[in-house]
Amino acid sequence: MALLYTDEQKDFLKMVKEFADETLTPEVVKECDEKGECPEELFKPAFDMGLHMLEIPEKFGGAGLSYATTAMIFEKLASYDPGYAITLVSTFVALRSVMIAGTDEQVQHFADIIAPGKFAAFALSESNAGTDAGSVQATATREGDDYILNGDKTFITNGSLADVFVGIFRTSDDGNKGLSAFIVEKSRGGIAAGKHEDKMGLRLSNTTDVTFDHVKVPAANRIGDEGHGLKVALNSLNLSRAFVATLAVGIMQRALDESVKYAKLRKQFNRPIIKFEAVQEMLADMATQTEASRLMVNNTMKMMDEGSLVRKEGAMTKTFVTDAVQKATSDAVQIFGGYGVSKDYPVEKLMRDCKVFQIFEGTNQIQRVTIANELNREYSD
Amino acid sequence: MNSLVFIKGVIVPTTKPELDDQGQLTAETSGAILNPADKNAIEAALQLADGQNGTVTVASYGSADATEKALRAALALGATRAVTVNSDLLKAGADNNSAVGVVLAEAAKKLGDFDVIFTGDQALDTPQGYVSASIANSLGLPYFDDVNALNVDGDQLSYVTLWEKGELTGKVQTPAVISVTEDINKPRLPSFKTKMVAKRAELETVTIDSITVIDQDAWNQLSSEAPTSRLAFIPEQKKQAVIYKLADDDQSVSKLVNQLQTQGIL
Ligand SMILES: Cc1cc2nc3c(=O)[nH]c(=O)nc-3n(C[C@H](O)[C@H](O)[C@H](O)COP(=O)(O)OP(=O)(O)OC[C@H]3O[C@@H](n4cnc5c(N)ncnc54)[C@H](O)[C@@H]3O)c2cc1C
Repeated sequence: MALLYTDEQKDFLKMVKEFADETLTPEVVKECDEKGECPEELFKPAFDMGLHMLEIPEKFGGAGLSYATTAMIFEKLASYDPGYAITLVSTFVALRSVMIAGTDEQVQHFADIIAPGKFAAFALSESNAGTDAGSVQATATREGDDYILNGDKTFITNGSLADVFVGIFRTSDDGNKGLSAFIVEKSRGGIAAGKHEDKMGLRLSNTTDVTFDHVKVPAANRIGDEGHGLKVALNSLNLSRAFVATLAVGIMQRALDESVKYAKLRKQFNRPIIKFEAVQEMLADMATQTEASRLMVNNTMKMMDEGSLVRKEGAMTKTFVTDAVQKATSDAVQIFGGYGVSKDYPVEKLMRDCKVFQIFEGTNQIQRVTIANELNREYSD
Repeated sequence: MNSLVFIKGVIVPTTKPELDDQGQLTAETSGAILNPADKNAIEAALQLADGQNGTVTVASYGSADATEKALRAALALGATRAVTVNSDLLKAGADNNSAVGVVLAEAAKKLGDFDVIFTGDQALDTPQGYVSASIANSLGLPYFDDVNALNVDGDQLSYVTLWEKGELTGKVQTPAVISVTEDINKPRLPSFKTKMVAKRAELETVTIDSITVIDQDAWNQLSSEAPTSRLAFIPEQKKQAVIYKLADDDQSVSKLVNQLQTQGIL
């Protein structure tokens, strides 16, 4: 692997491997994938290890790791099951979005809820507000010292698991400037999750609609100023894009591992298929793309550690890596031949799991729009 | 319950030991790691402390690097206090486990009152396993060896220990010294947070410059004894492969049966 890991990082990777070998056995992963279920008890050991708060500063109860180190750990975890990994990533990204624009009290309050082992979710998308996030229709109506929240959110990761949400709601008709962000505790009542989305891949990850029905939250739960909700959301998405990419690197590495092992074992024409140039080419490309992706994630993470908003780099990383993983997993299936499409072999799942990575956290089409807009700005004078 | 766990940093071979041209056994080694059975001892202590405001003190005697590694690994697992034991009394016989046990007993006395003193059943690098017996003997405490199950009931501990003929169960009133096997529990994984905190945590030091737990004559004699050591030779397994191929010889099945009968396998 191209990254030079510190002794500490090597130690952490050993820890997460030991953890995942035990928790995410092939049998467990297969069962969750088949049933499309996210068993909460499967996360108990992850919470005990603090995997849901790795990059959160120690003063808020996290481990205080850098983004770069956290990304390495999550790459490893995602190579076992990216759905498991994203459940934890979504939890700390929700807390991160409070950190970006909230007060220390709000962050502490949110962190205190999840630290003992609870899930969090980030609720922005609606049935008519996907790529066009500014068209959110769910409302937050001010009533004295409170807001009353109403509306439906769609495709919410951890929707039926979360004990606390960061939600984006409309506080005025002023388009993009009419949105505000709120911390919404499940315990407020009036929050109901729909059924777990029956997805082609990433099936362990819990994805549901969430309905907010007259949910009363104190004004103190508003993150940042009224009207700044979209900015909170977009800044948080900037950070989470590189995390989505690190999970995709994990899937790619898994595709490579499985493919090389298989290509050495499988014989045709009395030779292991790894001896055939056409197979070698697929493997070499897969390995090269994996390395490049890992380096790109690492660099973006380091920039985030330095405080950069990575508007362009986050978008570039997410797009490059999540496009690359499509070809890598498809080639893995190709190398396995007919066995590749069989559910008794591990690679068809990788192909199903990785598709959504081009869609969520902003589709790769809209990422390219962002990259081009940034270029336009950079070259403006 | 408050426990004291004596732990050791051990250096383990990472390759198969081989004889070099000088006739010395050599193998590549790891950096110091926490002795595996000591992890079980720490886990047993943590389980006694969990949810009861109990404490787990860990203490280690050995080279500076090995001691620090072991203590920080123990803090990462959740130990509440970590102590380096220093002593010049053992220079000559640092591998004399009975003498080490006396020094550790002296350290235990200095460190406070504990309900249980735990150790692993043996250290990977000095597997004689006398240390815990010597600690118990020096402190005049009951001692249970190779414990592979432990439960608390008030100030009583019920235990299961292993011996050749099976299991032995019993109860003992605390305080007691207990050495545990690797079967007693499954050590927890450290959390990332405690690991980060453990990296910077202060380590205490206790210095043992005189022995009070046993009388001076006994100590003088014990500490002058040559270290007891045991060398384990792994007998070379003689292997011989004979292949009987049915295709070459239609008698091969009966030849195979014959061969197995001669060797007493059938
Ligand atoms: C498994 C999963 C988990 C998710 N988790 C969350 C979550 O936790 N929280 C949350 O808020 N949301 C979540 N989402 C929602 C996700 O962010 C949206 O699905 C995504 O933003 C795309 O929106 P959409 O599905 O409405 O597609 P649309 O916006 O309808 O897009 C359809 C197609 O049109 C293209 N398109 C749209 N507009 C443009 C444009 N201006 N230029 C070029 N092309 C364009 C898109 O690229 C896409 O190809 C999740 C989605 C999935 C599938």
